[in-house]
Amino acid sequence: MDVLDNLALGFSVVSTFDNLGYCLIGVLLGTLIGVLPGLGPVATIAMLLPITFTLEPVSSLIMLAGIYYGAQYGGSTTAILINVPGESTSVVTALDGYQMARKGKAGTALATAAIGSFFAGSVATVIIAFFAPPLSELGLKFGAAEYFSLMLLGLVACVTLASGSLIRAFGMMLVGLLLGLIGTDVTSGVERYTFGIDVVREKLDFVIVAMGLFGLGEIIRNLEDEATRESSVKAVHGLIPSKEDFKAMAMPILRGTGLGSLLGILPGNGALLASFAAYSMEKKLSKHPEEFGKGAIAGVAGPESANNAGAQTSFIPMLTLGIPSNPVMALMIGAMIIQGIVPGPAVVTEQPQLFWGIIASMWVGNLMLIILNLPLIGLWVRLLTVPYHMLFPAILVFCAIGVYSLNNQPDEVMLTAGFGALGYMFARLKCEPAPLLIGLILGPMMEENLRRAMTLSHNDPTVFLTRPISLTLIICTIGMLIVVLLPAVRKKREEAFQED
Amino acid sequence: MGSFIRAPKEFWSGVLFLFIGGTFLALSTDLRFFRGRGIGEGMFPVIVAVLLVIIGAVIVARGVLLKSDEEEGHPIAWKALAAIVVGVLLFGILIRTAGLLIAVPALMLLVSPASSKFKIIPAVILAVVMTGFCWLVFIKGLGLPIPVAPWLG
Repeated sequence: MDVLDNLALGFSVVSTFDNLGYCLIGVLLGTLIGVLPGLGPVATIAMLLPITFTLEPVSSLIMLAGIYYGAQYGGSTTAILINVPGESTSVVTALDGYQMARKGKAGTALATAAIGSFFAGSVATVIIAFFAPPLSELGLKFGAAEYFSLMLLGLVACVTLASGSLIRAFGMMLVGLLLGLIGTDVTSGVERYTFGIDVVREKLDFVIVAMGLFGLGEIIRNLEDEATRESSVKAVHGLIPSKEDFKAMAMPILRGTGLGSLLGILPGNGALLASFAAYSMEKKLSKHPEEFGKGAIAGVAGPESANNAGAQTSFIPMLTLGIPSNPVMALMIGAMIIQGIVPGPAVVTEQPQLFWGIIASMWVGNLMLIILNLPLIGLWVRLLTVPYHMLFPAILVFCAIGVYSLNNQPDEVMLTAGFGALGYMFARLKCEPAPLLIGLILGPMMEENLRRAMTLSHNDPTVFLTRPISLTLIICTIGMLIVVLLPAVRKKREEAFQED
Repeated sequence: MGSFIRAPKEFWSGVLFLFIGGTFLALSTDLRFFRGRGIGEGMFPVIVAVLLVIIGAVIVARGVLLKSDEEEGHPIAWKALAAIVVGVLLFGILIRTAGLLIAVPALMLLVSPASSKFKIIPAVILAVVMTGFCWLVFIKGLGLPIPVAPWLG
């Protein structure tokens, strides 16, 4: 079996002492920061990115992936315990999870989330192992024209799957594309939109933008409504679910895993959609839909499994094609580039150790989460009680030091302050920052592929329509645009992102 | 307020997009749209910027025409916005000239009052503790090349 051999290779990479250690540190740090209210995985990864620079490429990516799972897990924990979802995918978890906690079943809710996530993570790991190699083979057949069309599809997908206003998400995506073009143009050597500022002469660093929009902007936003924040957490006990609990969560976990794995592969933020979709599916299938919103165990199990499965399968387009499907993957691509790896279909064949090491580390990371975090829950609860007014100055210090240590450039820290203000403005206007970040990463890649495709075809623009794969992707893109603009679908989409 | 703008969030997002798109367009005048028969460095950005301007205009129009269905949010946190922007800017200015030992407490003491629960003494203690912690983790532990206290010579 090829897949087994590959997985064995992966596990041999992960199970070195160093890599297990980095995975552990990543998972712990991710949970630690994810538990702190108001910092999602994007800000967490951006903040911790500099400490991975000095590591081997495979270790650094294993650690970053660990931070991602940890931060997600931490986000669910805050959603359940204090009704503050650490990130958008745990918004639904808060609905029933927090109600369970209020009824004194916080332990059960946390255990359900952990078990569901672990099961979903294990299944998703196997799915990746099976589907990633054929997909990268397909990817190897891609020329510049196919890549351009694929990125077009990715952009449209990330807009349609973003929560909130569709047209504003579209605008944000375009803003991201433009920001991505700041700097020296690779092909002509001409400086674009730099105002002669040194730090953006090469390119605007995506970490600056991510940290500004997702870190600083979010902190300012949190300071708006300090008073309403609940800071009292009851003690958590009864971590082991009862037999009935297990019965109640089994099917939702299975269904959530299936839904999440499927939606996660989509270009666009599939994990987010998956958690919402899983919630409404469980509510529809339940014999007691009236329990939803009042502490239904299925309302935690389904979405939590779905978002974890989706989070993991979203690695597929990133690892095989080099296309980010959500802001976290955009950061991972950035991290790979910093490490000197060109993300794309060649990674599987040229760096099998890296590729399979990351995949195996996903399962190991999930295992570590469930083994460590249930016993450590007392510690996380105590962290939750640290009041926000003591916390945010410390977080800001970490953000500032993180940005500075990227390139030891004070100007980049100042630029981050600017993006923080912009991020707050976007948050006030309810403009989703996720499409912006994806546009930022894809902008320069798209332009490069567009030009290369045109050069190769001697400036014949029909090249995008005459090559079959490219044509298929373009048709998918247009189809998606038409579908999402249909009034009926638009209404459904709004409903899907409704919280109840 | 309340005048002809019926959906303020929609309207102002549109204005913001118009502004960003317009700025990029204005800065593109020197870029070549074509290079020989091929694509110049200006084509892709100009197309994107034009799209953004169109989207911005549509959103502005929607902001005027649509009925507002947006609930009133919290008031703008001007104090937090100013404190955090100035604090991080100051960190950027200080980090190289004055070093970590000055920049960290400066940032912390500047942003702490942004919270309504700010008290001076705990904030000062926290700033001191954090400075020590950062020195321990980033300088001693990770060995990052951050200036610590250049004024010590």
